[in-house]
Amino acid sequence: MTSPETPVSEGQPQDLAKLIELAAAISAAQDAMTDDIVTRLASAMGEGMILMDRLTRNQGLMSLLQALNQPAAQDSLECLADALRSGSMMDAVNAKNPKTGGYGGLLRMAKDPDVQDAIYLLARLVKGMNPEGTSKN
Amino acid sequence: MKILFVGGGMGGTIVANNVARRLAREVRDGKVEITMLSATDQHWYQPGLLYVAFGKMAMNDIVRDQASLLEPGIRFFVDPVEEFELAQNKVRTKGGVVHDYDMLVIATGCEAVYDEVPGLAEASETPYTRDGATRMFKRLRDFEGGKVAVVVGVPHKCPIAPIEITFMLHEFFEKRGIRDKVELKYTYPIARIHNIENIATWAVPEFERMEVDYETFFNMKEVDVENRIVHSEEGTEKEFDLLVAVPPHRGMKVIEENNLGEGGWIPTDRYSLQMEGHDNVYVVGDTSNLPISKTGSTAHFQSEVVGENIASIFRTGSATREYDGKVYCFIEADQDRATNACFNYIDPPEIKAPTKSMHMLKMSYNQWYWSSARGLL
Amino acid sequence: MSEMKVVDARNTFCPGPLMELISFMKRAEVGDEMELLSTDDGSANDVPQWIAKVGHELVSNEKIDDVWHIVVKKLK
Repeated sequence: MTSPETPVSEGQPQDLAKLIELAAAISAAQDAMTDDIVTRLASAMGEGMILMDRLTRNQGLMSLLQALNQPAAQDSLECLADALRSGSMMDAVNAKNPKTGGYGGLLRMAKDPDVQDAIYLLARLVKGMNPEGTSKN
Repeated sequence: MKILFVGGGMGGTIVANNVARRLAREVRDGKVEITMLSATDQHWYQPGLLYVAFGKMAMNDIVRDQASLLEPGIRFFVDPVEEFELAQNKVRTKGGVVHDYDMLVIATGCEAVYDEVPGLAEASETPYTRDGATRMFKRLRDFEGGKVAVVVGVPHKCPIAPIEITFMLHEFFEKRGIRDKVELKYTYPIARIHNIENIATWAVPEFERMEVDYETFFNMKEVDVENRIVHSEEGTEKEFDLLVAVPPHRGMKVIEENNLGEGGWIPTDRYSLQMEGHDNVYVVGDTSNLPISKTGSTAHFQSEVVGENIASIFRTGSATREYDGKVYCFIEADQDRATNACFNYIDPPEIKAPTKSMHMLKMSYNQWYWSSARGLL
Repeated sequence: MSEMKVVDARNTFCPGPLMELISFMKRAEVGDEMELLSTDDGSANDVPQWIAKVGHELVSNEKIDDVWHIVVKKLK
């Protein structure tokens, strides 16, 4: 709020016009909203809030997210996604273009024991998800 | 420390979740044990019953599995308390289990009772119970015209309901195209049409606009079912073809049976929310004897206070907060508009003109309630 | 047996002193007396009005330090 002594600036009538326009837009949007629309939106928001609250307070999940942020982990996850699509873990590893150093880089990564453990686990997971297809691992 | 919550309704669930969130670490480490005892495995959003009675919500929309609303770490049992032994800090359940506690929160709520008014159960419709709401919608849907009377028992939960019911009746019959065939008559127990003066002042012109007759100082005494007449303590009477009742309420029988409070209303300190005479017992929601509104919002704001105090008593040995009497209630008017009443022990409610935005907020809250129940909102 | 009960409805807006009184009267026995405390000036008129309509007894009605002390007796 401006004090009485402050002269009205040139910007204010424009701001006021904008506010009126915004109010009219909100009013128009309200007219369009039926109870059903509001209910659905609010329900999605409400469930979304509950989900976010659950996820963010799950310390295990938050730690997992941090671990998954690492580039090597992201590569493994992309492998997993491809494997799920194709039904084969090795196809996914072979098809993947390594982000660093070509096949050499991929092989270096694949030699890392931790990465091997992760790939082994992912392979088991893929096997479990694809019971009818033959596993090529 | 063992903390026991008796009652899994709106108040009990919010306060238990509030405490479980604050003491999550301690619960995980086994330093605090939180237990909830309830008579049912279901959690009902009671304000939704009004919408069910008018065909605006389905019963499924307003109920959830109680266990799904509780914080992990809350031990939940569907096994209601039958005996309270406060002197020994323990309770005994219907299933014969004894639970001892260090702190107890009683949130057993209150229920509609019909025995005080002969004929009322038989002759009236109500949105206050599940069966009542289902039946009321059918009656409203099939009603072809005549005298509709609204009667109000004392005490009752949701103080704004009589006004909202009347507005909704008016609008329902208008939408059905039979409003001109309906005589709508409102009655209220005291000298004005609502106990909150500002609401009464606002609502009178609304009633006049809607052509609702109103009579004050009407406390129902009995209903002549055959002749369809409701008689008042004050010596007046109202004829009806359809009688819509806000029934009188009492605290749950288990409270009175265990001598915790006459009428099921537990004597409670209005600031600390402790049961009188028992420092380690808190009372949340409708079952207290406090002369304040029996509403979900009351229980919600009380839960914040009790939750914080229980946590701080565990950590520091003393309470830190007092309940200031806060209540926040939506008021549905007609034409998809709503307003609200917000007040506490000091500040009276000021009623602003109803708006669409407030109605949208109320519609939204009907969905967001589940977040409140979880202690999130 | 008569007994004096105090209902402290000071600083409450809803449901308000008269409704608290009505609740109490329903549970009370004939002959019981009750003192209602209220900071709502309207109570000084509403309560006696209701008591008269229904047929109970208004024992006393006075204002002490901004608080109304209204004593009523259940007659029926």
